[in-house]
Amino acid sequence: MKTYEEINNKIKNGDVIVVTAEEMIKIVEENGPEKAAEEIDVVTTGTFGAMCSSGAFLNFGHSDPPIKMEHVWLNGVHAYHGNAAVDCYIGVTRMSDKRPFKYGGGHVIEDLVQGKPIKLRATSYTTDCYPLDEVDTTFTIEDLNQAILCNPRNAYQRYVCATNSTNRTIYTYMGKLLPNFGNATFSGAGELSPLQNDPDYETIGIGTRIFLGGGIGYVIGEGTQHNPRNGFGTLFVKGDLKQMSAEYLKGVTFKRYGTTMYIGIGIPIPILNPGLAKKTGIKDEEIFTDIVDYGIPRRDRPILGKVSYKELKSGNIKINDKKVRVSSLSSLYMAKKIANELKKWIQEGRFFLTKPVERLPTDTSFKPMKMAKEIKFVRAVRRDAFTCRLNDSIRYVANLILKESTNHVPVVDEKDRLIGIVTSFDITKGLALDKTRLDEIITKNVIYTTCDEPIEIAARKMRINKISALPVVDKDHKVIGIVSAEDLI
Amino acid sequence: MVLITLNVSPSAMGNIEDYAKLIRRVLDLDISFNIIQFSTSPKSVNLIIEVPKDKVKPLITALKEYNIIIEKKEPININDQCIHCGQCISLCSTGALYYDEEYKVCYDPEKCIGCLLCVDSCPREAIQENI
Repeated sequence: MKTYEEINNKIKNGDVIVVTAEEMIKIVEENGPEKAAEEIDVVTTGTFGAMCSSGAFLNFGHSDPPIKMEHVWLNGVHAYHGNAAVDCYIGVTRMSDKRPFKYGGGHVIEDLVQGKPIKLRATSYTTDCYPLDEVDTTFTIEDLNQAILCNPRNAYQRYVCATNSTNRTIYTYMGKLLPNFGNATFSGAGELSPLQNDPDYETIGIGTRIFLGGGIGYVIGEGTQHNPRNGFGTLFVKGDLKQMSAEYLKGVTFKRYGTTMYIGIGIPIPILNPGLAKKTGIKDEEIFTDIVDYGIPRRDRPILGKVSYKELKSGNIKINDKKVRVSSLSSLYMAKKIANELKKWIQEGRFFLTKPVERLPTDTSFKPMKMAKEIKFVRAVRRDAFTCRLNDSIRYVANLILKESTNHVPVVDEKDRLIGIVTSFDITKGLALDKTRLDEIITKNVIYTTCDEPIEIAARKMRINKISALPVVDKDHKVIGIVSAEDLI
Repeated sequence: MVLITLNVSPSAMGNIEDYAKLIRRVLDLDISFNIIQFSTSPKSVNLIIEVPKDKVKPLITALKEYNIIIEKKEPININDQCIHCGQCISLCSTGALYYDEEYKVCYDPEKCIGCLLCVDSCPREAIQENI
């Protein structure tokens, strides 16, 4: 049994024994937890991934005449202002008004830490005490009174593995997912992940000193959506941006999702007892997560299987017996680098451990949003579809459209499975271009819906693809109806 | 596939016979290639062509005989903005993008077929097309 004081004395005297969580695995395997706990004082962990729930509080000092900022933009990115006159919070996922999907709050924070000048624009409704209505200036991090990185949810204990069952490429916060399980992505550092090495939160709690963005930070509580019952713990962290390094804070853009920031976090685990030695000996093959279908855009996305971080890091996993390439979204290279950097800091006596003043909850769960309305599904608005076959004539389909006063006719095969769609516009085009065969005018790559899809999702499919109807198919891809934009209003 | 930029100076095509000889020499190699870009200026004719990897050497040998300036290019390059996340790796069907032992993202142009699926996946815009 060791105490924090004993370990900190060793750090002070330069004889502390520190290893990374990766190195600890072999030590525990070879010597057992009892001996490992005697030998090793601290195990360092690390993670470097996209952490959307991040941002920074900045204080600019007062202008003359003074302004009570109402709206604030930093390099064209709207910052939140709902505090006192010249404080603001810049969030990493907020995108530039003029350059969305190119530049956002994460990029502002990276630029700030690099020491680059940042444009500040603010407007105000003015008051007797704050008469100025507008400010346009530039500043650097040095000009700020405080620049505090303050992230409500970081360092997920583990995360899911994402894939896509649909026939279209989707762009998500888990990256680009190719159709028909064309690839899979995952996040989290597995055996190097901070919370994974202290899963009962014995040493990580309020007041734990950590490596944050290349500087010193602190855990200030459980993160939002902290879900320890399911092994998805999270952390609320803060740290002084002025000490941080842009190497460990990177603004990024995920195509069609938006901007966010990669953040480097490293947490030291003091080996106070053999139990902690054993826990920090955790291996990738002992950490499991779910393979989740991001093609189904629902709160509870279908789970397709379980997979270990060892399998995930191998580059290939099996989904429905198909071999699927998988790679990480978070940087394992940077996670190792952070664990090693923190190890060096402790060895060199530059970083001391703190005992948490309060522990993180271990028995809470993550509740869904309370919805005022019930979900309405396509099932409720579906109409019968009038279908045709590929060998039908254009004239036949034209007559069908007239007779049934519809605009969309799904094309089906001999088993009623969807293979195309033909619209009244296609018929007109066919006529104008002297086409004779149906297959010359139909759309083959059809966007469709299913009975159990919420109508908002069906409506979005129509909106983003600029179409006005969707065939409804069952699980065998048979056409069982159609919904049009008017049905959804 | 390998991208090759060709810069054909007027001296290489001074008269139509020389030009015909050059064309014959290339045709004799029996190579199918894609012309990605073609532009002309008073000083030269510029082409970017995409050539199967195993045909690069014979083609370059032939073109050099006619004093054509050749620059070989890989379909993509990765700049120093890369943060080694590896999002691109699961999209790469040929293993041209891969992790080394340290989990650094690496690129092997020999294996790259230029599908470019990786380009828009990079959160740092570190993967650039070479065209």
